[in-house]
Amino acid sequence: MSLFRQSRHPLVRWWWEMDRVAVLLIVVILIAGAVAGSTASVAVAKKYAVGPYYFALRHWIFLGMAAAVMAAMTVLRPTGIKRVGLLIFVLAYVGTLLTFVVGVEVKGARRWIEIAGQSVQPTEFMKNGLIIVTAWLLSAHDRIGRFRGYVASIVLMGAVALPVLLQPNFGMVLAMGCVWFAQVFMAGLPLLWLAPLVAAGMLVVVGAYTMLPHVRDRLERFVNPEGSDTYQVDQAYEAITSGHLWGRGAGEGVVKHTLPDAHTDFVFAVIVEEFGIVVGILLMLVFATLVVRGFSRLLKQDDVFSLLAGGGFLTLICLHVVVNVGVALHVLPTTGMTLPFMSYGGSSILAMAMTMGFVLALLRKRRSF
Amino acid sequence: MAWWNKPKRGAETPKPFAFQRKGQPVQRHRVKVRHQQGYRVPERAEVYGKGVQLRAMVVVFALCLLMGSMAVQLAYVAVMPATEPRVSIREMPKEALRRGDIYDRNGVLLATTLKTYSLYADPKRVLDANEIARAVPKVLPDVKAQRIRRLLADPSRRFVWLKRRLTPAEAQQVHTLGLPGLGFREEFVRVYPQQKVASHVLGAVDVDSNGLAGVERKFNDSLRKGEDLQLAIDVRAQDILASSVKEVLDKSEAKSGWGVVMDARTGEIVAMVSLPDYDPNHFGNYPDEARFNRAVLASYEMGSTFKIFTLAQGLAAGHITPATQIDCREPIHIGRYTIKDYHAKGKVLTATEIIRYSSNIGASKIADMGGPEEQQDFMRKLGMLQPLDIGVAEVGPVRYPDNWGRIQTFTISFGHGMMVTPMHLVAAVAALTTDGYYRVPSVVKGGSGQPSHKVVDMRTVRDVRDLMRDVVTSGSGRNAQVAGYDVGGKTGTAEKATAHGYSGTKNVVSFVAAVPMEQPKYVTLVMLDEPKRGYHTGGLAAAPAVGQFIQRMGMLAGLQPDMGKVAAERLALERKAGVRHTTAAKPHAVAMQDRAQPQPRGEVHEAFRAAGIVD
Repeated sequence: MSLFRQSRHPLVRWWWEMDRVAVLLIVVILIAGAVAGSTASVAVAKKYAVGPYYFALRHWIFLGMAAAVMAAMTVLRPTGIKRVGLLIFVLAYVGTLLTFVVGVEVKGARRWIEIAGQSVQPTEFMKNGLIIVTAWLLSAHDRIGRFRGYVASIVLMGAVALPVLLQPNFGMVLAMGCVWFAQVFMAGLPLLWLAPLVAAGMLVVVGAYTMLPHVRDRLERFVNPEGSDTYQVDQAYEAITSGHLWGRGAGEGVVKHTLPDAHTDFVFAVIVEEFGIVVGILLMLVFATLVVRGFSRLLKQDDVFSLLAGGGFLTLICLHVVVNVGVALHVLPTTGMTLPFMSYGGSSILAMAMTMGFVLALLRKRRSF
Repeated sequence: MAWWNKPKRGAETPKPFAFQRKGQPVQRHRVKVRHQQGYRVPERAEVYGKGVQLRAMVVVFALCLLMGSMAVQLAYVAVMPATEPRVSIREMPKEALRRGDIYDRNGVLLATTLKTYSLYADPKRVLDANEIARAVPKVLPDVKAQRIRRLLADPSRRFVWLKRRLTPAEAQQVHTLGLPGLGFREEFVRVYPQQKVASHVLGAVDVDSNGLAGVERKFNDSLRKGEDLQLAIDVRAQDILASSVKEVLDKSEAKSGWGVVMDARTGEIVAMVSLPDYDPNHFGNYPDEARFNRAVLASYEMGSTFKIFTLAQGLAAGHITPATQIDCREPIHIGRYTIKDYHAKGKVLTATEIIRYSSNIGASKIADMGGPEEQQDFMRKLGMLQPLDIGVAEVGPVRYPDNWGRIQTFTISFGHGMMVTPMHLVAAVAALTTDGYYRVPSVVKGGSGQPSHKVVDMRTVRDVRDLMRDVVTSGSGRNAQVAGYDVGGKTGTAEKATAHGYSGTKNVVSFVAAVPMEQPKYVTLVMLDEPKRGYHTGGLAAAPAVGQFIQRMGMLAGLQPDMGKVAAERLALERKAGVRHTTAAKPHAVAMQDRAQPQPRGEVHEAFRAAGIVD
């Protein structure tokens, strides 16, 4: 087996067809995730008294699994992606409905189900399935009449949003809605449709504000922080300011010992406190490069489905980063969006691995469909 | 191609799955194009439809804008100065100001600073490193020659410590060596002559005399400027409280114990103890366990002591009077909760009896009369919803429900579902028993300086005093009775919340008391964490410690207890217990009581004042 491009060996062909820049960026993110996960989870492990590297070890195992999942995903061609995506969507949708029957309640929300002793959050995976199915519907619209492709995807979005809102997981609906909107927009949504869609989105937000007490509470705390308990956010912001340009040094952070969610929602604050704002901005730059690079390659693929699906995935990744950083910086209200591969949590890491894997699969050069 | 990637046979024009109208011509797809017309790469517009590329660009632009704005926000933080500027040793002023002293309320020295000399070397100006390495160890045996050579080997360094904190005699000896390149910096060492007394109030300092905890950290800036600080703490009260808590801590084998004494009329903290404690002279040698100031940091669900607030709220709002009858026969079922009484009386109780027997059902029903908003409002007035800054660096968190509904109103009425620090409890009880005004507690002499605000009127205050007195004379707080003193209080026994719900065996017990009850001068709280069986309630473990404190404090003040009352009270107690008396005992007791009549009730605090404990 020769490593030259001319080699016909499938493994070599696979390697040269891959977008190697994207692969490099994702490897960088994985390594950063391993470092961040180890340093941030030590404090939590101390709290539960399970030995300092209990969670760090699990984080690394999840990252290893993530790498395997991504590699496996890259063998898929668009046809395979559609099939796998549909399967994921159906399974995750059923799983989401199951949370109402056999769900595990944590902090007042039923989002998890137990599978083989592991609690899994099906909505994390549904995001991937929804993006693919939406892209499929929208890319097929020019063959089924413009009108119907949109209608089908709008109906689908509604059918997904309803059970997730009832869980309640408002942040997730907002994320899925944003990605979906980006996809519909790219697919050529007539600008006349924009107003009713935005109105519908506003309706969901206002509805959530009045119906879901935790959403109202968080928004009110965000808008009016005086007199309410903004302990976590204050701590996170203080961590970032004390980290300053070059950080306090690896493992030197103090905020992780006082923040209950230091290893999940506020992992960015831990990173900046220990490694500095420069590293934080570099990290964001890595994600931004991945997004821009991805879009520019997708536009060259000459395939509507690839563009819509890949664009959706990249939007999702970008959203995760922006929201997570925004929460730590206190410019956005608290939501449960994770920082890809850095936040601790099996469901979110594996779901993000699928997302990245699909992106890599879509970015592959190909001569046939 | 593997099967999972292969399109369906005959579906080179992929059939759009459910939407194809019959007979409608299918628009040509790229693959079809390729097969039919050879290898023609179609125009991009042909594949994408109009404007897709442009729209994709818009999305990319929007995403970049989002990322960019976050990065700008982050960079903005970078422009601002770091919150903890790291001062390098060279920037230290050569002559540091002497850190201010700390005194207790009577002028007893609690912390002071001694001047010492620290020896450093400037490697660039050293002429002969070997000579220094030979001569210095003769004067300072614990500075090894090898270490000096290593430190002086690098001439690019301008500053290395050789030994810190020399005595004046040692410094003189080094000085007479007359070696160039050596120099002294005056350094100060912080000394705490009272050692463990008041350790958590004082805190500690690091090697550079920066406050690490307690008032040392809170008032670090003014102390560094050389300003002295006088605290409201009384070392004697502090010592008595510590020994009272220690005694019961040892007996009950509890994990930890803590207590607070507050001057009810000024908000001054007269004593604050958290055991295990530490010696601030050697702060670094103690584990976190000992450094943790539980009196301000330990947030717990306080349990039955909260019933004082429930009753006070009901009385203030006019829902009840002390004689109001409330049906406590049946447990309350609400949602999936059942509210029961631990010492169920199974009858209709008056409000007085509800607090005497600590009825959860009764407290819930009283709280329900006002509803969640009224309760939340009352708790806010009592300062329960906000962290409390009492003048030490440590500020404990408070936790209350996000959705404060009917169920939460019920549980909070008897002290569950809401977490506050011991300091919150003491300040609130003081407000309800003194004059109805809430004062922010403070360890600084003269109080916090923040304005007090009215919570309840005097009529409610008098009722609350009677209720608390009743708990000690005939309820769960009997162990806090001290002959000759009017003690009023309330016990609390809360099961600890663990990861798996409430623990049936691990309790946090408490007793909060005011003395003298007619016009409280002191509010005292003692709490214990996980006392063993036999000491597992507030009445069994915490109340005796409070009683102990009040008794010793009285003795210290040179107070003669009201002997007539002592005898009368003992008689009453024995009568209640059914003890038979000799005929001689009764007239004797009556005679003692008669003699006691002219003595004023205010004797207790008069004596305290005479002893200089209070102003």
